[in-house]
Amino acid sequence: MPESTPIAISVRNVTFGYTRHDTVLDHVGFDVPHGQSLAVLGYNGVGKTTLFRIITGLLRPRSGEAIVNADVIHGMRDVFMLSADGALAMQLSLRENISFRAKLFATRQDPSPIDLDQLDRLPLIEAFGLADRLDTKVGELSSGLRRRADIAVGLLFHPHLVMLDEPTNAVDPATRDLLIELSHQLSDSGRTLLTITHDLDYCWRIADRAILFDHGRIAIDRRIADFPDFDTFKAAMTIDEPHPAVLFGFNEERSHRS
Amino acid sequence: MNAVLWYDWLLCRRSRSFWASAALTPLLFAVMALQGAIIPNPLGGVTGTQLFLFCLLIPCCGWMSAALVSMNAIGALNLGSGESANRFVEEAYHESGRPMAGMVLAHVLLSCLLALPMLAIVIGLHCWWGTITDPSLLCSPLAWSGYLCTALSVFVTVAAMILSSGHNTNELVLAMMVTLVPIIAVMTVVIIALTLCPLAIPPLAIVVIAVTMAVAIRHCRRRYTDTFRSLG
Repeated sequence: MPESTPIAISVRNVTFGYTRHDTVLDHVGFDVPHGQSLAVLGYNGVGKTTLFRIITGLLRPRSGEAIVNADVIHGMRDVFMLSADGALAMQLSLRENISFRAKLFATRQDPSPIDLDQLDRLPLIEAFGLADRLDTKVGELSSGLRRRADIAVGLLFHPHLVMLDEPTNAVDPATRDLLIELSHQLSDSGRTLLTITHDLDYCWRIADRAILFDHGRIAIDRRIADFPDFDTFKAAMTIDEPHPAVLFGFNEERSHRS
Repeated sequence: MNAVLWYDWLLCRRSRSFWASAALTPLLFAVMALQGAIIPNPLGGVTGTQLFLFCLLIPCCGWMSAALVSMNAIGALNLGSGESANRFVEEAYHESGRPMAGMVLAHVLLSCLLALPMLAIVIGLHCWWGTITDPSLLCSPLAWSGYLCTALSVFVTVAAMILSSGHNTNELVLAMMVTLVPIIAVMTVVIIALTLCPLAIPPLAIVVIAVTMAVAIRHCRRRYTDTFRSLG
């Protein structure tokens, strides 16, 4: 990425805790150049999702600030965040969910941001195999299909900043491959992509840069191209927590029986 | 705002539990108001039943309608105990770039629209049962305090349910209980005012509503941060 590339997101010295006494993110700071694909890694509860919510303004940091650069991203309408809980109402059909988002994103200049009569012909709907499921309630879709629907519906409105929280959760290998291809096409079209994932192989294949969080701080921030191969990348991005011999109590049970 | 109204109404009208609650609530509240008959001496010419009706049970219609709409909006009616609510409307609304107060107002508007027929049923039943014989009572300071307290209750309940950081059913139930506080407070003030200065009730209620709205709007602004700006 050239040095002159404008910054899309700037996270400046952000500290956040859900209560006064805990600190989830501790003086976190980094910039994301426009068009970069950044992977955010770290174990469960380290603050990755919290960071996404701070960037989109759904959470207020205790100190510091996150900025979505208005010189690069044209409005909050250009931002899509897929949360881990999903982005669709379970009780509504996929078509109704799209309709809700279309009403929400409508403006005076553009009252119909999407052609609701031609939904089944839209490339994203076709690519994710959702054309036949448009009138199915989201709650009746399998978790994998729901994940596909979450992503497709958000991307239908062509956001320029795409933030995906564990997109490969609950998806089959074919959908995972589809998501890898989608990420490549998003990057090729110049969009900024932030992905939270635990899937290191996925990260290796889609990201330009990876940030690893540990204890609320950035432990590693490196470009993927700096790693000679996947094994080196995997070794670097895996935090070695000391694992003492863990006993789950089953052996004890067997000795009692005998 | 239109999108949220459309969405809320779509969810509500498809929910059987919503219709059951909306139908039963005014009937039960109307019956509950009859308990006021146990108060022997009328207060400032107002019977115990009328006091219960306008100070407690009519505002409770607002509380109930707001709770139903809010819980539907965040998908909480389909949750098990402790399960997380779906906050995607909040996320989608924020992404649309509109001021978040619009989302809260849309929920408030639908709750008010739902509270109106509930309120009419409760009053209609009492007219039919003969506990309200004088139509001028419906425009009295006591009645106005009831109507305004209903609006206040809707606003407080929606704001608490939508803007609270409650993300699971347990926390939402707690938020619902807390939203009963304004009704209790208003009832106490009205009972005191009835004996001292009944005409002061409506202006007092308007001041309380204005202050509550100002607090909620301030909270709304503080809750959501505007991260979209030029880096400079």
